[in-house]
Amino acid sequence: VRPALTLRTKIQLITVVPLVALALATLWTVHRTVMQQANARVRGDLQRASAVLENLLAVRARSLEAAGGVVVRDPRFFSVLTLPGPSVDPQIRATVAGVASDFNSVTHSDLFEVYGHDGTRLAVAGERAARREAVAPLVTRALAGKTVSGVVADEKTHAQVCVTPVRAGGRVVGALLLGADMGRELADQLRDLTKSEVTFLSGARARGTTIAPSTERDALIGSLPLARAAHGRVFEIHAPDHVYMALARTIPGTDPAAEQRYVMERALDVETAWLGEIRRHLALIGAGAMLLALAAGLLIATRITAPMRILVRGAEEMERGNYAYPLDIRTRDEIGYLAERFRDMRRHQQLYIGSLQEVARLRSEFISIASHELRTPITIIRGYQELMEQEVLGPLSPQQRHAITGIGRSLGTLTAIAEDATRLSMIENDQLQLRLEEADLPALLAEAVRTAAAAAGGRSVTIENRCPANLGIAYVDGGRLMQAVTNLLRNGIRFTPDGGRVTLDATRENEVLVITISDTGVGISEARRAQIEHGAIAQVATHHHSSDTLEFNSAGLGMGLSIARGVVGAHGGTLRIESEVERGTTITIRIPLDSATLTRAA
Amino acid sequence: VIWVESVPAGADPHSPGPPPRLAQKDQSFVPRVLPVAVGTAVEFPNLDAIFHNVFSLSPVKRFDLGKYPRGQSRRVTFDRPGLVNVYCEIHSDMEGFILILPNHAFTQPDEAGAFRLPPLPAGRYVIRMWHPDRPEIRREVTVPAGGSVTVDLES
Repeated sequence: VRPALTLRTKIQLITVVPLVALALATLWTVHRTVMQQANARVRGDLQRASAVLENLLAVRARSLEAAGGVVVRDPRFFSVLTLPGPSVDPQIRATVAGVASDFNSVTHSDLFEVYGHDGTRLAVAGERAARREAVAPLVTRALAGKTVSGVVADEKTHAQVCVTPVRAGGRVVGALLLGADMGRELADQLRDLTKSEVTFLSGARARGTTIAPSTERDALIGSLPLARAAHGRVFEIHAPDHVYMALARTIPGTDPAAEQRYVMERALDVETAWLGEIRRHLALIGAGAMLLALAAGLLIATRITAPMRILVRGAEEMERGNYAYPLDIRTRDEIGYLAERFRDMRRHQQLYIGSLQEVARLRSEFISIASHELRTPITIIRGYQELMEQEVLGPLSPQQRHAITGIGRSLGTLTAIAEDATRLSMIENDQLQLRLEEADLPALLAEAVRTAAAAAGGRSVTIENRCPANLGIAYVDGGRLMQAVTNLLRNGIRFTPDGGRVTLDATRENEVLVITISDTGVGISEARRAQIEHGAIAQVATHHHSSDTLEFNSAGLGMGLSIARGVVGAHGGTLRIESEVERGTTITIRIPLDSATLTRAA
Repeated sequence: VIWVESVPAGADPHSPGPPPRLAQKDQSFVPRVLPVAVGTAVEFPNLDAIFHNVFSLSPVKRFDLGKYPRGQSRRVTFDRPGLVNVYCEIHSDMEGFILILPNHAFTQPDEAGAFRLPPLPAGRYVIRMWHPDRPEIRREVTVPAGGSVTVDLES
């Protein structure tokens, strides 16, 4: 049985798995730490960007206020608001517009609007005009004498504004509205400053944004509830293209209820692109380390297991009978010690097997000689017995005749034993020569049953022949095959108590002759069966030719099984024993009948 | 403006007429340069559809006519010779010049640069030329009795 998981694999696993785990853990830790750092950095950046934005807005608000302050104090400016006449007078309006555009060529405000003391708009000098209603509250407050700042958002305008009262002679004669757009331009400027995407929101409307793809913008608008819930803290926007870290805050100086917000975003994946680079490098290094670890593990495992493999090979060789496989192991560790013990064991085993073989050889030789030597005296006894039985040497009394007949019967048995012994020794010495001929199988098997039944005189065991009559003719050594089957039948009868049954069956399965001999006898124990199955030991076992516990009419020396196996083997076939103690034994003989096998067998 | 520095008494070629005008038109003073003799009253009509103002901080004549709409006019009499720079308080790029001369012997060249001074008695005169963007030119001329003299102020 080969080991499922070799020692080398195990050692390799032990050496490599921790390394791989360590590498993965390191990668994971680095990734996590760097991700956290990157995340924290993005958060910090967003906070700073927000500070920059608010700072810039404050600066813009102050500069609007300062510009307004300067303009309204200029007599050229405030004096036109003191012109006599109603504010609807086109001449007054034209004059004011001229002055306004003149001043705005200096202030360059996006919104430059002049209001009369009654709140009517006299002039618009900026690039666009705010909606009246949007600025009316601011203008009203300015006309009351206060400089007011704020954010104006209507359909076209989204601007920071500052409304300054215009005073002449100690009374308010009008108001000047200066405004700076909070649109794309400012957003772009802020992006350049902060490296963050900037969006100005008026309610759920983006008024100026650096985010170009509309899907990303929609994602931002869609995240407004998140923005509200974040209360000025960093939150995440999952847009189709990127995941953003975002910061949404109310534009300073505006009423939170007016929902004037700015949102700053940074795409996390873009921010951490360098991390991906590091990760790729780390993965490469990790893969390299793993390969190195694998190689090192393989080397170590090979070095450790090399002597083990020599030992395994030595054991395998020993199983095949080769006791000389060199065990060149010089390590001084446990394996070296084991190799030393193994060498000792091998030496002992070799001696033991050698002695067993010697015993078997001696036994075989003895049987061969003895059976041969027995023939002459048996022949002589047989001659005298026949002479006496035929009363050539004088008439016999009934008692004498009975004795002579008994001697004759025993001589028959003795002759059979001697023949069996001779045959067995021939088989063991591989001297068995088959005489192949065309044999009628049904007749051959019937003869075997007859012979076995005749030998079982006095036993009440049923012998059943189930061989089909159409079994046909086969090219085999008919005499020996019949002998083998007879022996097996006799064994069956012998080990079956009276009242039992021995059955012979035969079939041809695809050019294979299958003969089964089954009995309802005492069976063979597993341990004994293993002994019988294996050649050399079986020879020893034949001496025990009977059940461990029961002996029924034990005629013969029980060499039948060995001889049958030898004959079947000589035909290129197999003999298999299945047995259950107290239930019976089934012996299956399979002899191939194809010409190739026969040729080889012959 | 080209004028004669001094003219003998009684020889001042004064010809009475309507008072000279320095109008505000298209956000500029028209004419840009107005020569008048000492003691002349000048009209400042506003011909534009917006308010204008006319004022001067020149030492020769300080005045501020305030802002007034189209159709209205103001009048100022200049009683000292010299140059008066006129501005509009509302429109800083408006500028006008009133050159107050001691006599009426002055003229302005036509587009080709030709000019003709009024006839004067024979004698030696000093002719002066002033232009807001050019250096002043001063030339002595002797006018023969019963004849005319040609002066080339460019050379």
